[in-house]
Amino acid sequence: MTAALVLVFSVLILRMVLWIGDHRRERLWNHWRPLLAETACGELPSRQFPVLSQQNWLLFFHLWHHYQLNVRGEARIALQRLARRMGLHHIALRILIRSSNVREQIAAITALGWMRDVRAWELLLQRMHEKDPVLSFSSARSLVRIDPRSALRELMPLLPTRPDWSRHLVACLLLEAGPGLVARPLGEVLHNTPPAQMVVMVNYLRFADIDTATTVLLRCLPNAQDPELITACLKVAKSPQLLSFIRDRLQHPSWAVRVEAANAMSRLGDDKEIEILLPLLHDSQWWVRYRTAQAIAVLLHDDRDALEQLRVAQSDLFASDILAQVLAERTGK
Amino acid sequence: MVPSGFFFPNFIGLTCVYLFLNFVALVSILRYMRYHDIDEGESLYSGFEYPITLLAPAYNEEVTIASSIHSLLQLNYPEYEIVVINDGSKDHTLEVLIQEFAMQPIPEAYRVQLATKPIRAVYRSLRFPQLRLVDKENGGKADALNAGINCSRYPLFCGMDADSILPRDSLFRIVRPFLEDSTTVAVGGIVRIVNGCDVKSGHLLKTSLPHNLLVQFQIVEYLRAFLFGRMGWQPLNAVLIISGAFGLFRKDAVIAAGGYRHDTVGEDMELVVRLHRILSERGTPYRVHYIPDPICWTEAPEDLRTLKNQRIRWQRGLAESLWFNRGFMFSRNSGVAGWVAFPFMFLFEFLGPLIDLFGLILFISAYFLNLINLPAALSFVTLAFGTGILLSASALLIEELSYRIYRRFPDLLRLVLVLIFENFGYRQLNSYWRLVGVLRWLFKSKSSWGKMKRSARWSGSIQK
Repeated sequence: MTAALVLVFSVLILRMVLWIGDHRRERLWNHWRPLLAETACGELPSRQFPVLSQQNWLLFFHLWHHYQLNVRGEARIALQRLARRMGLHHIALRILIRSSNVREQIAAITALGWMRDVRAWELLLQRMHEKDPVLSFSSARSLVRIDPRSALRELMPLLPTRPDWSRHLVACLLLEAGPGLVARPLGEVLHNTPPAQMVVMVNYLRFADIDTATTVLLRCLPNAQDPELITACLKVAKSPQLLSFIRDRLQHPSWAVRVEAANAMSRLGDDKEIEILLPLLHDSQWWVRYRTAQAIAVLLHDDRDALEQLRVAQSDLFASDILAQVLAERTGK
Repeated sequence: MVPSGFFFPNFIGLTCVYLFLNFVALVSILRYMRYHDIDEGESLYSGFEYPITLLAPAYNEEVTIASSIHSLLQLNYPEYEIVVINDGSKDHTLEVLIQEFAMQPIPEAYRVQLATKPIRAVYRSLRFPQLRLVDKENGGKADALNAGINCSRYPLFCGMDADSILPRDSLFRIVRPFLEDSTTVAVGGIVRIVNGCDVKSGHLLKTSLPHNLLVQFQIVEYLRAFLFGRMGWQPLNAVLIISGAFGLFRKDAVIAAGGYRHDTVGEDMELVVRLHRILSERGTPYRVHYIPDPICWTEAPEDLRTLKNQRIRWQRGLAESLWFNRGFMFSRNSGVAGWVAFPFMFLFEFLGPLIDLFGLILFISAYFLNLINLPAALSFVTLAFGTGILLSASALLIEELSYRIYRRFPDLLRLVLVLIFENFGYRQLNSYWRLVGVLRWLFKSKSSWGKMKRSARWSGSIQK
């Protein structure tokens, strides 16, 4: 009972401490918000810049980081300039060198990335190889923000060896970097990636340009046996040069491959491919039939009459049903 | 002697496990919160997000269904669809949906992957392309969900209650474990109580504690149950329950497991336990995740009768889930889930009410028969109540260190008083109801959902 009452009392004390912290944060944020908003809008600030210190920098960072995430272009640059004027980059660098607090380190890493502080390059490179996935990935992201070309050269070889990095976050990072910068290092890494990791890496080809993606796929697809790898390749296929490989996969034993082949055909083919798609309308797998029917609709440019003619011509009930569904979905009838 | 030999091991065992779960949950949540406010995960659509099907079974929901679906249509997520399943409603649910959302029948090539009651028609909305409606004969919630699964187009589906309130970014949050761990088969999240809060157009505007004491007791219970009851098991891959109010599942895994069972009132828990059983039997690597984010808000009963029916049903559902999957306990490859969590559920959650009540009767009898003296009796009572308060207080501590949903200091004070006073009557009443649930299961009396009396006093006006 004593322990329980002590804990209850602790909860109340904790709330008071947190309330004081919240109150302080709100007070500071209420003071800083207009400053940040004016800066983001390109206006002259109406009040003095606050003095950042070891005690308040983290609070400022959270608010500033929130703004960074929600603005683009000139607004972002203006906020970064503001942070530099306030000395945030000096504090962040000091924290990165000296602090053992992981949360502070991650905030510092993120801040240095936003502000493109080259002085932090070597330190961030070291942190990128840390075991902690959040610390290492944050470092990678900041490096890409500082110097995307050099960072991607360092980062790409790591990707197959870091399954602990969320693929979604890696994808966001590559999307931000842009196909012009991603293509070459990704292509080079894919050349040397072991088969076991190819599936994950091939998925990232969607962030590369068409030529790089096509070169890699032309190398992978002819010899690929693993249905998962073939599916991944088909998902990122962007060039009509791959049509012959796609056609070959329409009758693959794996239904997932057949689905992606039908999808790829709808993206890259033309109405001459419809004949080759027709047999898939009788496929045993619903998804194959559905995606094939959708592909045919796309290749016929949603021509209601042509689709209806095709539907009526089907002797197979499954084929006819799926075409009827797609007809209704895409043409409203 | 008899009470101590029987009652004490149960009490000590339960307390030790709860304290352990508390510790694990605390570490887990603190680690999760460490990066929470600098997380950039939701800032960009990467194209890697899995599309999701939301399944909204509806039975006699003509009053609330339109507003519920409107709020689902406002969720922030790159690609998702909503499948409403009208489970043979006797009111005008179907007509409301058809009119409100401009529904038109389509010749859907319906796939029967899971057996269900016959489907009458499938509709799609002319106004909202991602919305479809399945009209079927009445078969119960499990049957409706299975029909929704048959109809769904996406690899993940979200089973939910039609009146669950979801924050706009809830899909982004609940899908994260699937993006970060390819072995994920199911994800659940913390369900919060919406009573007393301000809600407008299906979105939560402001949280505050309700005045209803019964609901306040439930809030403390939910904190215990979710914050350490489930978060404690999550790092051990031993989460056996995902709330039917909101849970995200990998569709192919659920279909392979046979979908939801029709013959239980605890179809949500039973599915999760069955997934554990089947996947561990096959030696398939898998994870069931729980995230501490408050991603779903639901209405709690405000009167004793409705609460009683709910608790009896939950206990019955627990009994059925454990019984149907009893082979999972101590089975090979079942890991912590089969060797610790399942026996825990059986011994302390299923048998717990029986042992509690039996122990209490024995204790009182022993006191009046002078088998135990007053100081000993008082010591034990103090210990028992103290432990109850300790566990609730530790759940409140975790809440303070994480989301602190109830920000007003008076609300916190009220919660502190509630967590003390719930030990004097409310818990015992719950134990009794749970015992009734066990007995009804044992004697196979007819089970049903009963009728939840909804006040929805917190619900503001609906804008479209």
